[in-house]
Amino acid sequence: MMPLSPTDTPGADRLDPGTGGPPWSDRGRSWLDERLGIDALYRKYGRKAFPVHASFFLGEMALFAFVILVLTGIYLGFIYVPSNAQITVNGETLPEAYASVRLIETIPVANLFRNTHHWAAHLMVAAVLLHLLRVFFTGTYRNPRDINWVVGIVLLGLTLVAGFVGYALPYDAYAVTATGIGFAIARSIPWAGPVASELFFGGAFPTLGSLARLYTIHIFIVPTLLAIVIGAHLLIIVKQKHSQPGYARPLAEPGKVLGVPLWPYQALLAGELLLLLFGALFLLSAVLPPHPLTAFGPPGPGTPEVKPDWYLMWIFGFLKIVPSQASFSLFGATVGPTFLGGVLFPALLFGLLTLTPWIDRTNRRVVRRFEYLEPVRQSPFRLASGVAVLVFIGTLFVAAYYDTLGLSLAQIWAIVLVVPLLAGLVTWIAATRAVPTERFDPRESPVPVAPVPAPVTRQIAPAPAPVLHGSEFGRSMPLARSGVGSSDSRLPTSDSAVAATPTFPTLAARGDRARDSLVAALHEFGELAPLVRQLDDDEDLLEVLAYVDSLRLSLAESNQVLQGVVRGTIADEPVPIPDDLHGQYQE
Amino acid sequence: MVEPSPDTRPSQTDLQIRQERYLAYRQAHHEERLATRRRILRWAIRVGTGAFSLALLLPALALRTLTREVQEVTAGDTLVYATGDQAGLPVDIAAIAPVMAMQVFPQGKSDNERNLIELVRLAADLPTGLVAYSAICTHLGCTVLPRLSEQGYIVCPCHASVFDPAAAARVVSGPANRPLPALPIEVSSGGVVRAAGGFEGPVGPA
Repeated sequence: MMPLSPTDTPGADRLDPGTGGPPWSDRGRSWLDERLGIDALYRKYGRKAFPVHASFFLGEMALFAFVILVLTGIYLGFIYVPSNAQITVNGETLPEAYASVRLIETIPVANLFRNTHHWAAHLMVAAVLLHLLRVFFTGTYRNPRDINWVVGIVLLGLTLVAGFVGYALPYDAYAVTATGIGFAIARSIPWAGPVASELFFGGAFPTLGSLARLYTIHIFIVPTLLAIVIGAHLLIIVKQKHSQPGYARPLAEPGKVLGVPLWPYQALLAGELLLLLFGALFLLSAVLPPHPLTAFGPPGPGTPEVKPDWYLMWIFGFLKIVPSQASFSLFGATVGPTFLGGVLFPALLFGLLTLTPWIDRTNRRVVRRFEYLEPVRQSPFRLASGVAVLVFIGTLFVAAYYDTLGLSLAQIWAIVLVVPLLAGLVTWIAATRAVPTERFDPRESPVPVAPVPAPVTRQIAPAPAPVLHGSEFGRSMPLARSGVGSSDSRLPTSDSAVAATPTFPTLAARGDRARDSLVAALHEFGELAPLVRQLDDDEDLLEVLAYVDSLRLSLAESNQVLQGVVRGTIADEPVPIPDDLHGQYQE
Repeated sequence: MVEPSPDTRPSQTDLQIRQERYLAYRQAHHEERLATRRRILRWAIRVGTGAFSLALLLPALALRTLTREVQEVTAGDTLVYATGDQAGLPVDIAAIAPVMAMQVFPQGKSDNERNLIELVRLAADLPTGLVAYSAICTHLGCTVLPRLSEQGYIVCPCHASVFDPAAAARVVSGPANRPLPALPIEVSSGGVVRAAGGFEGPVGPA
């Protein structure tokens, strides 16, 4: 990691390899750069800061599970035959699809990929759900990320659909039963039932064309939609920047994110995660085949006692307890229990999820956006309602087994209705008692107070200095050699030359910084003036006034510093750097 | 001397004046003209997009599926065992003791899984002690269990719908909202069980 001097590379704005340049050689880089301007691209996106927090890898896990699903799925597609016509193999008459999956099972690597495909589907659903829970409980679905919340809900829905459509393909007794139930649910939709069942299942199930429909949906339509929507989800993250864990709040400047740059640190972590997942899934698949064909055998006249996978169990449970009398006619169509339990109930739950950002009354933007994770205990109602919904889903698992548990329909209804409310109430009571006295403000910081102390890294042994600083698309500075480094990375002059000789901000730099902050604060005041005049809502007005107060402090301090610098009454002394906090970086 | 006829053609100056007036008019109404043009174009785009999207529905609605020709159960079909070692052989009435159930197919029509029949022997006396229903659950189309529960009911393993074979397969509990359709049967003197007609209602979920 020897820093090159700027003369080593053509063009003074070249990247400093010491901070981890783009993944190609100097020669290859200039060749590509001449043609594609790739350095500019790298400078813009390769430096995106990723907050370092374990819970931030959940979404990445979902993404990688999708990648693994696509890769293993392509391999399986080369062998699989999407047809349920009966053929004779080794003297046995079997559906073609079943026979082809049996062939897959006889090829060890294909069998491994099939098992991995199945396990990766479980992993993807689980990762998406955990990611959703993280975003929900920390309140980061609020402005400006309400839009990405909705996109995420679409992803959840598509993931569940992809999983369900995949049920049919092995065409064993389980597949036929489960898909037959899905078909009956699609048929039960008032008015649109026949069209939906024709589109997705071929008008009947099982029929000769059913697998052609389900196969095309499973391998092309849903994955394509998933890829497009995942792309949108990520683009929005890049555009809006990450939300950040609370520890970043005192360190990050307004509009900036504290974290490690995409290249090389985050890329390394992500690559590690992908390989780890691959390894874990391979191991799991080798040890625990999730759905061997022999478990259920080819489809026959009887129905095996099947339950869907865990991620659809809540619909199954609800379908089981919905009373048969819940049926009425509406404009010539019958709205029956199947539609209510299999379509309307999940749709309502998804609708509720989608509307969460607008149900949450704290989600208003008056002056500042929500940029930080809110401590879970700080919002008892959110915590309690989340727990209630989770427990509700849990009771539907119990409902799925109510007859084997020996419960009556009335008893299970009582459990489904009462237990979640009780759980929510208990959580709410416990959480309101544990609300921290000092509230954490999850909204973006006001204009910074000058002078901001320089960034510092805790030295992590021989690794290249993890870099940081808040500027999401700015330059990362190699700090480090002395263990304490600093430079004002936001100033145009601070390039690799400054980085090589870490210093405390000079007096002039502090003056410039103070001037910037002062100007920013003054502008902010100007923008707030119409708000103060117009706002009717007392709560909003108070919020603006509190913000004005915090700005006033920032203004006064910047003002003092600037005056001191201009008058020469401030000594050119290093700014004291506080002790390390809980993160990797401090400022 | 002939008076030259007055020149009725507009003079060059007139033409110039007219042209200038026209240009001035255009100038004055320029914004307005552009606005109209924009409005028309905007509507054209909207209508075009809408019509195109609607047209996409046509191929979606035109989708059809290859289907097999299937045979329904009809009067005179001999009932045969559906599963087990004797699958395909005619049901032996002597082997069905009261109270028990088994699943049978109309002979030669087992490739249509919706022909599956739940044959229940309720009592010793024939033919009243022998009843037959469709074995396809009216809730979501699963196959009901090929045996009776302890209470003598027909149970669907999927969502726990329970039917009473002694009472025209009415729904005892569970989410099904229709009884299993009955199949009229006759028992010949030789002990052969035959269908006496088709199912008395739609098979499976309506």
